[in-house]
Amino acid sequence: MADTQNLPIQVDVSPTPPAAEVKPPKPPRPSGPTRHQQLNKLYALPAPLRTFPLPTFVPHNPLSLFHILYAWVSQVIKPQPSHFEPLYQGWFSPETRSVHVTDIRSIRGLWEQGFYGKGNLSRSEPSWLEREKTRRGDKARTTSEELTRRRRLERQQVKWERARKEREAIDQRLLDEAAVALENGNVEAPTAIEINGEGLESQGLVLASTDIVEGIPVLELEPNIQEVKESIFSGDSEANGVESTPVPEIETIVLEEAEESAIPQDPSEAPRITEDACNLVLNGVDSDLVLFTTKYPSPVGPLELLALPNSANNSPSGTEVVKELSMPVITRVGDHTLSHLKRIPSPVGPSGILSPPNFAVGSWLDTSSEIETVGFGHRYSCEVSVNSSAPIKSFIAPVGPMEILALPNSIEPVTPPVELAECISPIVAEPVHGGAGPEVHRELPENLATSVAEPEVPVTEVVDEVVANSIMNGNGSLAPVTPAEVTETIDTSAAEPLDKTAGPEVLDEVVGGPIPNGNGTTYVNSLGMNEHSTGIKALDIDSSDETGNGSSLSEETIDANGSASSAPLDLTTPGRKRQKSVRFSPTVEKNTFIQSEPPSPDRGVNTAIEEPLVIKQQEHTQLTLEEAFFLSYGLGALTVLDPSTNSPISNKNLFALFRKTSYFPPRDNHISPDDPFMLNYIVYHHYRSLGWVPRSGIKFSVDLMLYMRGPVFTHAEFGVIILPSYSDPYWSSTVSLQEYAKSKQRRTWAWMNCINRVISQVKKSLILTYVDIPEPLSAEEENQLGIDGVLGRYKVREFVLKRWVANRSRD
Amino acid sequence: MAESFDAVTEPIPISLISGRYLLFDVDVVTYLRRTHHICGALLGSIPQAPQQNVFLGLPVQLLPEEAKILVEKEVAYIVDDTAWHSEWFGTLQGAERKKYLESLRSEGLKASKAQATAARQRSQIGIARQAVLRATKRANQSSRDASADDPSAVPESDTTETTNGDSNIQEEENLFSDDRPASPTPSKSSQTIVPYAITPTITCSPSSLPQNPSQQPDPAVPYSYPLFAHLHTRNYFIMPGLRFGCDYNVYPGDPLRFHSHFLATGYKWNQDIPMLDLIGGGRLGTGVKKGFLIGGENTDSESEGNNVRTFVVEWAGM
Repeated sequence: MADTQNLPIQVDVSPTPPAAEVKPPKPPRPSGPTRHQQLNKLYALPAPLRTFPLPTFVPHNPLSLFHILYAWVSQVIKPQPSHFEPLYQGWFSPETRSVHVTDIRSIRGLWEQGFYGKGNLSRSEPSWLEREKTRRGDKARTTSEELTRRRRLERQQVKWERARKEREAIDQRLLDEAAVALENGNVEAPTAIEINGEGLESQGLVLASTDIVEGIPVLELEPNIQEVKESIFSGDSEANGVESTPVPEIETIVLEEAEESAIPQDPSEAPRITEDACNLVLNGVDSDLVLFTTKYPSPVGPLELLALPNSANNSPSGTEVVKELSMPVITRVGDHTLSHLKRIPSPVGPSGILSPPNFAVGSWLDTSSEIETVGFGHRYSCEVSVNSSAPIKSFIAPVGPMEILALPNSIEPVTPPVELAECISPIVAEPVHGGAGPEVHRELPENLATSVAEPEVPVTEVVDEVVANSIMNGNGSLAPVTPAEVTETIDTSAAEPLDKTAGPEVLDEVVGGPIPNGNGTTYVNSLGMNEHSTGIKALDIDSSDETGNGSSLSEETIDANGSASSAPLDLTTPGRKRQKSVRFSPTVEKNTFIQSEPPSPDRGVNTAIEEPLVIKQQEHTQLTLEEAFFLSYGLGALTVLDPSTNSPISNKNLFALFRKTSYFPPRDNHISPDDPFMLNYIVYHHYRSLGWVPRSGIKFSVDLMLYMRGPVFTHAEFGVIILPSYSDPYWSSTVSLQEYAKSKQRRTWAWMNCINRVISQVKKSLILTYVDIPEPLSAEEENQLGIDGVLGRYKVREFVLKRWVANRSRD
Repeated sequence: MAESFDAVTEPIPISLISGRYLLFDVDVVTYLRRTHHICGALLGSIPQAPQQNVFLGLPVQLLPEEAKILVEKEVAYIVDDTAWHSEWFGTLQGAERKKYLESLRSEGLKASKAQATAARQRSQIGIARQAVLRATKRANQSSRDASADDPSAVPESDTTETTNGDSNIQEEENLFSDDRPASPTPSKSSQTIVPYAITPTITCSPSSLPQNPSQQPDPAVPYSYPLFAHLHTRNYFIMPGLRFGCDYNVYPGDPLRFHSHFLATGYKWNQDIPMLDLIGGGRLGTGVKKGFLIGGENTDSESEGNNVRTFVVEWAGM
């Protein structure tokens, strides 16, 4: 008996049975009680009451009679109290309209006996102290909240991954269809080679980029399309007589902020591809046509969509971003009319925005000189066509959904496309004279390095603009920063090193740009040519992320051997997750360290003092009014104290108080038989006394959830909706009363469908619980009746509702 | 398509029958759907597949909101069909009446002729198929006979099979040849037999509906109408949202091509919105990958034009 009394208190002690002490040497772990047994013991009492049933009488065992006799006599002589002493205590809190329980014994006890209050996770425990300890750095234990969070994160990532795969499947399908259509189309039109990002799965970036690099040759026009495509898709271009160029060194710097959720497509892939294309342009002296398309997937997920228009480092204006995106790639020279490559016109309405399958809209603005493409989201398509005979002219800013979305947030003035075109043209044009044919391509690394070394001034300009603009783009933008400065000295872990390598302008932009943004992702890809590094480098900068939602997107080691020449791969970022950036103190206090000394004497003292970590228990349980009244009136297990007088409130006063408080704002003298507290309490009492464990069901948009024994054992089985029913003749006696009852009872079928769907989504059944409202009584009559009498006037009717579709429920 | 669109002339009559706004003409339905983004809901059972209700046919029932928006745009007008019908048939006398009945009969004749032709074709196809089957079977048999030792048993079975086949064909022909007097077999001369008149799906062609309508009152619409009109002006397609527990299902394009994006529920500007409704709608919307859209018209504001404000609720962490 004594230990049953202690039971609510001794929760933390995991019961170790005596069997554990008689440890057999063989098994490594003593077989304690199972988790289920523990739970059963912990939650043995369904209510904060103890009962003393007589032992069972076994007819053929006369000794059991003595047993019964003994139990009975001992109860008669010295009756045991059925309540726990002292009673649980709570404070009525008018502000929150609930009863606060603050001492840990009461909280634990109430929790275990099925009174959960409001505002908890469904299966968590009152574990504020542990969570607080974990928060303050005690890593030893993990709380269930952490587990839940982790599980949710994993689940979210799985979902993203799945969405990405679906997206890629669709893209692949579209590509295939496009290829088929192309084969059927006229042959003299220039080839469109689309390279899907499928190979570029986030972990396989390296391979993918090499594939692409190999796969995108400078094409001569005369081979027929099919051959070209085959060669490109197979990545074996020379076998089919198509000349391929080794692509020169590419360096990519990816500045990323860890985004809150993982975006499955690593957006840094595509920029690299386009850089490849850019290089192709550089090399494409004798090539007639290079046509190159990369696809970005449309932003499918809500996060991506949300990130588009609002992220702080958003594009100054959509046009500019788009220009930047398309800039390096889109260069077209010559008079090829690429009529069949014409894209969908920029969509305006909802259907228009949706209609382009990949959100990639491009259109040839000017048949003579320009090609434009619009990138949207993380994929975009670019087309490049180069004619060796004509100089490279320009590119043009596209019009597309991206722009439309970005417009309202534009911060910076739009740079006219002409400037950019001018900036890019030297870069692109310069190398053209350098290379002369396939032989040249073989020695490309050196060749390009020299050729690129010349135009330093334009390059820096470009770098400025490009970086600035690309930073503005929240969703991954491409910044072609050509030459040589941006090289391997870039440290992957911090933003600061950038300025050493990329020049002051770049630094300014980079540092200024991405960091203010909390959630957006910024990618700055700079394209640099270096003699030795052929790899693609990724530089990740994770700005501190409050949410700490480990995004897997930010770190993928990008390490691609860009060219056919097998230059050493260098400078890869470590491919692990980082959620925080570590910053070291700028001041160095000491240079030598002695082993015995604490690392920093001044601070060592402080930490030593703080070490014990005394945390004041601040766990609160807010019992709902129904729960509190049931505990106080129905079970007598709770004392509710008045916060002003510190004295317990009697049940009668509590009843009146709760009825008043159930309105918002609380009413003073209005006693109505259908006030929310009455309805809720009637239903709560009904189910609780039938053995169910009711709990607030607000997160499933019902009034109560019914658990079989408690949330630790099973999921809730039913959702209860409380509906007042004004069936008493009083409510139809006058017109105004009829109106009133009608307004209270009015529900639509849409409402019913909504609730029912929500409930069946979580695999529960819906119970409509009607409470018959009696006619109102005056205050005196209610006083006379007392609480029991008042409650006794109500009736409860239940209807279980289930969705049944005739067509689907047939066998 | 173009011709059928030409056939549709605005304003279009919408039949109001026992409180429902109905359209009976498939051209009108297509036209409204394409041009005005009005979908409606198909109501009628399909005669060929009467035992299901997944696929339904004409007539199309319009939401009161849809009817109202069409009337407001002066695309359509509302005809009280019951009153007009009794009036029209009451006045149908003498030669007109005879002409009308005659037209029904000729329609019936056309229909029965078409049916008979189709039946004949079917039976011919069936006979041909049987013949092919028999030929192939015989060929197989003969090849097998060449290898088999006992050839005597085979032809017997073959003959029985053929007779069976023939009887099948006859049965088929019996089936196809309609013995109902309404659809005379082609052997009889159709001139001698007066065919039954068809029972038309609509008692009169839509063109015969009154062209200059008496002004019908505007359809009574629920208070979510401003939201409906707002979304409609934004070129959304709107379907009734009962399935998802909301007022409207909002599609970005034709519902045949797109999933809906929003579950829209309209409220009055000063209406109290129960928390549970918001939670339920938000949960449900997110659960089916849609946004839960609430909106209402600000009736207090003085500014003219569209005062509808909308919000989308999404559930995080589901």
